[in-house]
Amino acid sequence: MLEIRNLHARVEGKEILKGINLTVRPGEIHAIMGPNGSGKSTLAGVLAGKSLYEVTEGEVIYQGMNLLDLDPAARACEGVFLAFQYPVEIPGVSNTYFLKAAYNAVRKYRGEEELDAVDFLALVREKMKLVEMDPSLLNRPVNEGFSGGEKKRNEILQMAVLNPRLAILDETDSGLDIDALRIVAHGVNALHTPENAAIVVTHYQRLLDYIVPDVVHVLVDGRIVRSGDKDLALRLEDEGYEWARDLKEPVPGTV
Amino acid sequence: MKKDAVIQFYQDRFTAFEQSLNGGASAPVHQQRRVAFDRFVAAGFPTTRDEDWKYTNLNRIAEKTFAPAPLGAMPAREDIAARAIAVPDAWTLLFVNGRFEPALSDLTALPDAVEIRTLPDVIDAQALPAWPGDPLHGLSVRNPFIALNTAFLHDGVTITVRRGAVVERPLHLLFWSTAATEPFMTHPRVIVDIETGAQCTLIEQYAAAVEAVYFTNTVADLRVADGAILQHVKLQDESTAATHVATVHATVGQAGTYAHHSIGFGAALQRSNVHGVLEGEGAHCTMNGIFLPFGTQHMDHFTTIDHAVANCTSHELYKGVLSDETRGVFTGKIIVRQDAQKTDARQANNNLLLSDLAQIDTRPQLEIFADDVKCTHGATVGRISDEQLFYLMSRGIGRRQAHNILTFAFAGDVVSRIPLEALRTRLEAELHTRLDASWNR
Repeated sequence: MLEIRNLHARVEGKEILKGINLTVRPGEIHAIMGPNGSGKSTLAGVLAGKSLYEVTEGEVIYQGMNLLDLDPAARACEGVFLAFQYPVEIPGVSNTYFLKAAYNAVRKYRGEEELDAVDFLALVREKMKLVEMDPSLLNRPVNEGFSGGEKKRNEILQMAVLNPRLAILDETDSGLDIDALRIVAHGVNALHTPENAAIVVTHYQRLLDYIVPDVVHVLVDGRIVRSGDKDLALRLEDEGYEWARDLKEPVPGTV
Repeated sequence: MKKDAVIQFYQDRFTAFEQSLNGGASAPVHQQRRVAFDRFVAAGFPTTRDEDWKYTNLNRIAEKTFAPAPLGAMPAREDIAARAIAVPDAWTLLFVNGRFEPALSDLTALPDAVEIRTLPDVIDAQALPAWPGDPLHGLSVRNPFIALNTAFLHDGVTITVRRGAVVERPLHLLFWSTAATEPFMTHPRVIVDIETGAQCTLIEQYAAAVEAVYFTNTVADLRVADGAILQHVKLQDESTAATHVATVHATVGQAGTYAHHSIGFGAALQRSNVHGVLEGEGAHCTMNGIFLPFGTQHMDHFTTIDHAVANCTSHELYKGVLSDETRGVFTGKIIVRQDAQKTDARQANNNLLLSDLAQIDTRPQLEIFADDVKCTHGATVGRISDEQLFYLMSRGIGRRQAHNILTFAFAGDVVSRIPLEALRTRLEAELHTRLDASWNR
């Protein structure tokens, strides 16, 4: 589904990603862990098409397409979804209006008929149950005045509505209490199918108690230095990133 | 033109105007015209050295000559419908180049409580009623255009809504300008009295044939009596070759409300002066505005809210969306007189720049002479947020639609406060069209 080859990217002239290689197949959940500043969020942003990041080398093949050639909207329409670490507030735009515009934009892109307001509302109400979100948040401006937990639930609601093939969750656990974390993780798990895939970017192991990954990658200084199964996350938790930081180069055969 | 030449030009125009009045020059109002003209001559047009006109160069007016408004042209209804935003379900008075045109107006079933007279009928017999905005009484803001309007006073309308009457449908004044062989000027006057406890909505609209070149100098004198409510929508959609100078002066009595909703779409140069004076305790004034210039349009809004007595409230929100090489100016003067304790005045001016070459000057001016008051003001100038744009796009919304959603989110709330649903819907549609046109310019 996704193949990242030797990806280099920089932000404001500073190289952050220094040769990422990663293959994600349908049905898989990959976790990307790493210390602050290792490039986790940059990788998520590059995949979603954030213009702040400049790709200098490498390629990203998604569903047979060169992902980097598509603008962010086209990527989303092709099924790439980024759950933001810091969801953006949009005053003056109601959450429902936003969700409907997004949903219908994707339908239109796929040559499907747009849904009218009544049918759409029924769909959203159904999806909202998944994340146990207060229905009053639908009429409020997007993310404005939402608590940290409400913002993250709203991200998962958008994911549920858009039903992506590849979901990228950027530090979705940050700022969540344990109940909210459980609800968000439940949403992600419920949306997971053998046809779609997820990349879960996280600093802490605790999210992986709820979303169990097939593969765990350790990202240090812009490179994946080690990959393994979920036990790798536990080892990181025990030994800390200092251990991983010493792994300057990928161990052969682990990536 | 040198100042002397400008004055000479208007002197000649005034003399010709007097001659055209035939017997009318002996009417009592003519003495008022003469006094006003002398005031205008003494003042001349403001220059950018005048603080109140600092950001607006009036050479477009002062350097040009304008013929008297051509009369007798009868525009086709289709032409008007094609250019003027429709105002549904209203009593309409249509003015062509300033002059009332009964054939294109519709006052069917106007209630007795609403008295409408065209200005020529009124001033034949009597002088203009004294009003605080008149140059004869002086005004804190330097504005010789009022004197110029009075000097050439002939056309317009007086509207009186009788005590306690609630007028269900809006009164719609449409000032239509035609394309003429040479640039011309009009000086319409609108005089409105909303008597005690009465309620009314007034829509004052300016529209024109494409490419029409003219100078509109309009004055509205509005009196809102005790407990009365006037909702006033000013819809400025003049030809983009036109110059539009407008002065609105509203006084509000005890517990009365005056709400001004300004929509600025048209004219090459617009200067809008809106003055609200809260004269009775418990009075309220709302001033909202949205302006959306394109190309090289210049739009200057100068507002004054004068809290003359205690316990009054005012809310002001002006928004500008500026594309291309446009220029916007906003001045929000709030005066709180010494006796105006417990004043609650809020003002905001927010601007969205869509181009590197667009420019906005915004200045709040608070003059507070009372000590127990609440006054807030804020001005912002911003651009479309890349973060918000990316967020919308990351959900599949195309760049153009994302731009439209964000610009409408910024601009829409001024229109959404207009209390007439049918008009609001049309204006929102118009706003959508214009914001879409601002995409990628």
